[in-house]
Amino acid sequence: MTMLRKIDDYRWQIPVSHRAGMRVPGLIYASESMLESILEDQALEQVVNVSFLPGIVGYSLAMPDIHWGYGFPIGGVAATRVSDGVISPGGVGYDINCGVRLLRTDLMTADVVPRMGLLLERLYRNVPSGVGSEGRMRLPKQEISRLLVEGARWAVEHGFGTSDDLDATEDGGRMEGADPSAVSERALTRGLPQAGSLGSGNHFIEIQAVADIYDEPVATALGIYQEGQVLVLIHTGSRGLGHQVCTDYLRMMERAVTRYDISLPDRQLACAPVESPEGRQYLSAMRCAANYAWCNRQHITHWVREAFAEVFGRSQARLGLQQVYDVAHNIAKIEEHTIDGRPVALCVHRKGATRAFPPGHQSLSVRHRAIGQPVLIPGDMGRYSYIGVGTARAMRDTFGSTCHGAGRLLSRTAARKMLRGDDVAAALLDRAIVVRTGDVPALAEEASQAYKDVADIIEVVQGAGICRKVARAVPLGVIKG
Amino acid sequence: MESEAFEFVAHTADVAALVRGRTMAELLGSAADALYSLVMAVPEVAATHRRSISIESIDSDTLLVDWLNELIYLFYAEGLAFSEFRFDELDDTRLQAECIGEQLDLSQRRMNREVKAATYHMAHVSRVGERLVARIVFDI
Repeated sequence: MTMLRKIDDYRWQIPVSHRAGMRVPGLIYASESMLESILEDQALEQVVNVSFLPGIVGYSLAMPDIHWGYGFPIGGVAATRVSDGVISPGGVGYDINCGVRLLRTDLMTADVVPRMGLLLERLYRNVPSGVGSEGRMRLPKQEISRLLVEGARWAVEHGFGTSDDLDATEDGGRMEGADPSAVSERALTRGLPQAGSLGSGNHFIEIQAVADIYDEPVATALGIYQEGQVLVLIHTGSRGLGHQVCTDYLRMMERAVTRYDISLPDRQLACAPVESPEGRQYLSAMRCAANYAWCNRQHITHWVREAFAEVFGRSQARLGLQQVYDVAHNIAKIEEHTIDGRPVALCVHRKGATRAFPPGHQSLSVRHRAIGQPVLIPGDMGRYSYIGVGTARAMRDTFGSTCHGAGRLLSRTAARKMLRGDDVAAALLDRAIVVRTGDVPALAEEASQAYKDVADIIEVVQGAGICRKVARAVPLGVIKG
Repeated sequence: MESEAFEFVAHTADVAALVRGRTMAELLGSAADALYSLVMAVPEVAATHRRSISIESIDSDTLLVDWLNELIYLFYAEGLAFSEFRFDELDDTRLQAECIGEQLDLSQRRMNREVKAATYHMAHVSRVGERLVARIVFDI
């Protein structure tokens, strides 16, 4: 605790005097009651380590869902100057563009609950999931190059979704500057068979019901009208392709650190100047992986719609299955931010953090410009998730960033020792939450007890003004990868 | 499946393993065993396939991590898992290994966890008494 200086009820600073070599202070968004669990592991040391990155500006930031990762903490945000700063693959992570997508429907809880078993069965069959799961498509190599450049747009062009979906996706589901030649054969070999699959771990498809609406005009603009309305939340990323891109470039960066004479407290922070050949090449490959992830969520969206249409015997349009939004929460982006009154190009690393741009921001699509960028914050499968919007304060204080989820409380090993997967499923069923998974023991790792209460996280980001809550949804049925 | 050669220790988001060996060759073998017991429900494999692996790294810490990432790639890309390793060359920055194991059909095999990568975070080979010890954090 001694390293932390309280700024206000939601912010704590680690001064640069804490350790020689820190270039900027650390800034942690948390309530006092959350600090105890944050201090239990090495997450704050990681916030300090990130502040060593050359060219970092402002603060090494931590969102309230911070927990111990590798290199960067999970829930970490770091912005470096493009002109003389670095880019670090560890500041993005292995699951590049892991993110969440929310769909809304015109269905109500009472429509869905009686058919939940069948619906989950169809979803489970339609969307490949589980460890090493492979997709339903077999793509020739020239198509994969187009997919890596076009992202979700590739899927829409091939009949998986509509242009409305792209309009409701961060960056339109396609990051500019993706160059497939920067992606190794190995990453393609690992990623190709997995295009269009959910994966495992904490990835899921969740059928939810709206529980509370806090901001009616914004909720209405997002197609969320009433309590009990059914939503679908999809959480997955770039699968083996992203994992291998990160592995490949970390190896490259290990060498770049020596070449550019960069001194770092943790090797996992390995980096290169943004404008160096290594930095540019990593960005090109990372963008390909990000596009792959958006394409992946686009395919899954299509199969979710098919499952709903089949079970309810109505067309997707008549079910009102429209996309609310899709956000990336493991990514690095070149963005313009105001530093000391001047616009500066920054490389913003968000590792377990969500972009939260304010109303009026020019990068938002026309329909979101009036309300701000939608922010999707999943909780754990036993409690609830939140929908929010970005704010001007986030733009000013956190490079337009906010939290990404609940954040782990228990390690996976500790959760497995404490809980049994079948007990977790039974307890959820007692509360009318149905779970379908191919890996029952793994449910222990994803139980509510393993996570912080996302409501506490939301209280901090709302209190600090870096996100405005719009609605809350509770789970009805879950597919765990 | 934990043993003298390796054990899993707590890490909030991921899985950390402590691996041990009397020599660097043994340490690399222990790290491979830790990996296979993470990814497969039953980590036993037959000795039907052979593969040569050569890696160059900048020091022994990165060599260990790069070795594991090579095995992770071969597992997910080709279904290869190994039980025996013969190191024809091995120093702090280079290894040349002959690996013996099995090519698995991963869709038919009961899996445990999907391991994204072995990370460089806290990866450090140190000597404790007669043995070499290293901690590896796997991203899962």
